Amino acid sequence: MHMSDALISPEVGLSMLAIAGGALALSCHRCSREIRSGEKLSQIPLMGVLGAFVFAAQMINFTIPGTGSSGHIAGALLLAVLLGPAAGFIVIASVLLVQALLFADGGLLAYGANLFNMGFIPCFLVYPFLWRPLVSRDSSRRRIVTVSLITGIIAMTAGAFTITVETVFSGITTLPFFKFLMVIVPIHVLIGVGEGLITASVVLFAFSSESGELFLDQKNRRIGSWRTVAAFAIAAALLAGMLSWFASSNPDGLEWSVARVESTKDVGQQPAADLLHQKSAELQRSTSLLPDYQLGTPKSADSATAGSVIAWRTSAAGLIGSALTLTLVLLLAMLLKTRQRRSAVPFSKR
Amino acid sequence: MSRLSSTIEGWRSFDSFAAAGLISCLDPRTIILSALCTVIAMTGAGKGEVMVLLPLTAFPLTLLVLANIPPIWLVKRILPVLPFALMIGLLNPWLEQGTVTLPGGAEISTGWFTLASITLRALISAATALLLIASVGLLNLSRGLAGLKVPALFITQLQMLFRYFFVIGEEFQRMERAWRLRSGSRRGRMPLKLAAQLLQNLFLRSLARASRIHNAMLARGFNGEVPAGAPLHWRLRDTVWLAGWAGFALLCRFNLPLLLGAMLTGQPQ
Repeated sequence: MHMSDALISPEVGLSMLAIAGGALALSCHRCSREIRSGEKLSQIPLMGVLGAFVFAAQMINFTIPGTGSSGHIAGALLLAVLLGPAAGFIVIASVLLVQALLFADGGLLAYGANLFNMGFIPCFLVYPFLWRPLVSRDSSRRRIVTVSLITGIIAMTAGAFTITVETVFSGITTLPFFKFLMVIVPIHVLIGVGEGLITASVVLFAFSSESGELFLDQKNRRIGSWRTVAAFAIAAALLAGMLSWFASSNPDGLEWSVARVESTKDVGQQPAADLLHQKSAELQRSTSLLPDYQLGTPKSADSATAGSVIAWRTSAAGLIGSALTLTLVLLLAMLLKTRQRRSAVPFSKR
Repeated sequence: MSRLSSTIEGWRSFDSFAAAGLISCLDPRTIILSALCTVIAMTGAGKGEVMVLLPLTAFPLTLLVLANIPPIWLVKRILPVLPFALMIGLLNPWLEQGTVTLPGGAEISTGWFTLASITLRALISAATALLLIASVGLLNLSRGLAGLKVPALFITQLQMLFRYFFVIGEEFQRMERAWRLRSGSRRGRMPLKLAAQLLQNLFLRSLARASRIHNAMLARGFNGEVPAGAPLHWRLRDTVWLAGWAGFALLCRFNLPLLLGAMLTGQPQ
């Protein structure tokens, strides 16, 4: 389920890289703090070895029940359960980077999108919001299997859905959104069954093994501020995506006024009067990542479906823009927090 | 050969190229950044653009030549990537409504151009990623990423993954081979139940291995950080390489072949 550089636009690729990169930086910051304090020094070899374990496990193609095809485990949900969301995300990020470089699975620019689809969703959305609240220390084997199965299916299906969204918004392929969705989702539901069952099997084994103490701590861990951040992220993304459906395609107040004065319908297409303006307008058009707050080349408004296409594209721009803004804000907050901590260190200890 | 065995063999072959060739004289950060410039320029090309993409093949080809990598090695690794890109673009000639009149007068669907564009993109991106790691090497790549301010914990994790994949992979290879030799006519696909049991076993062995590694690291004074190795030095040749490829990518963005063609033929664009 890797997205390729061949199917992604720079706007989508760079936005997803910013989001996934921001999440990776925050995860590293959080884990480094715990490791430096000495309480989790054994986490480093454990992360390395479990990364190698997931990498090797991905090489095994198992038969997908009820079909003639085969699939392999993605492993992010398993890592989140065993190591926690932040450490699990770092491990799956390293696995995906090695896959991108060694097997050209995905690509360099699509790395962010792949990390989001296969790492962020299981580690920061599915695990803390579904798996963790539904499984406690006293949960029965049956409950762990059921929850793992359901969350495995949800993680894979959500990943397949975001692949479709990212591919369609990139605008490279002509496949219609719903047709593409109908092709990609059903098979990922079935792969999710395998993912869930294998996750449950290894997790049960881990909790009951001699080394289970390593993971029982994780089982009882309370999810902290990440939940709040993730909840805000989802709310902001949904809000931006939905609100932008209602964004007016008419010119704004200033454009409308100028249009009235110059008696033109669309000031955006009016050529600039002098050479300098014309050149700067051309330069802006060629370098703009989100031209006119839309992605790609908008279709003509005279076709029957043009309205819906523009609405989807506007939603994409709103979604990506808000996600990018949120990431930047989070990064800025982290930077300020670090500086604040440094300045709080007594002078004698500097 | 199973997928796991071929992966282990393939992974070993990567490091054999990195030590030789002119690329090893450059700072790994230079190669990483120039590869990114190429990929961004490639993805920035229009949907049906083919001409804009062609000059961008120069970057992977340069890496191939300067790192002395056999072309057949690259072809073998790129071929598995192509089917997915083809699957996505294969229907474009029938789905797209627009037509283009060729110089001979024949009309073809614009979908053929988008299909060609998608295929070319897949080739360039796959070749760039594969040759980046083959020419720079796994450990040098980690150093380069560290030099680009990628968090230290992620670099440590990458190095751990590089080092222990062989250990865990070979462990699993033996288990998989044992199953394969006893599986009769069922080739390639493992029943789900058996896959789960094998992974449970591998997991237990991995944990035991992690515990031994941790003890060995502690015995050698491990304090949470893996030494990064010798510091990197940015030289004039690195600036020239990066500026050259960034400028080339920018030129390609403005359709270099068309610019050159217009210049040579004297035709207006």
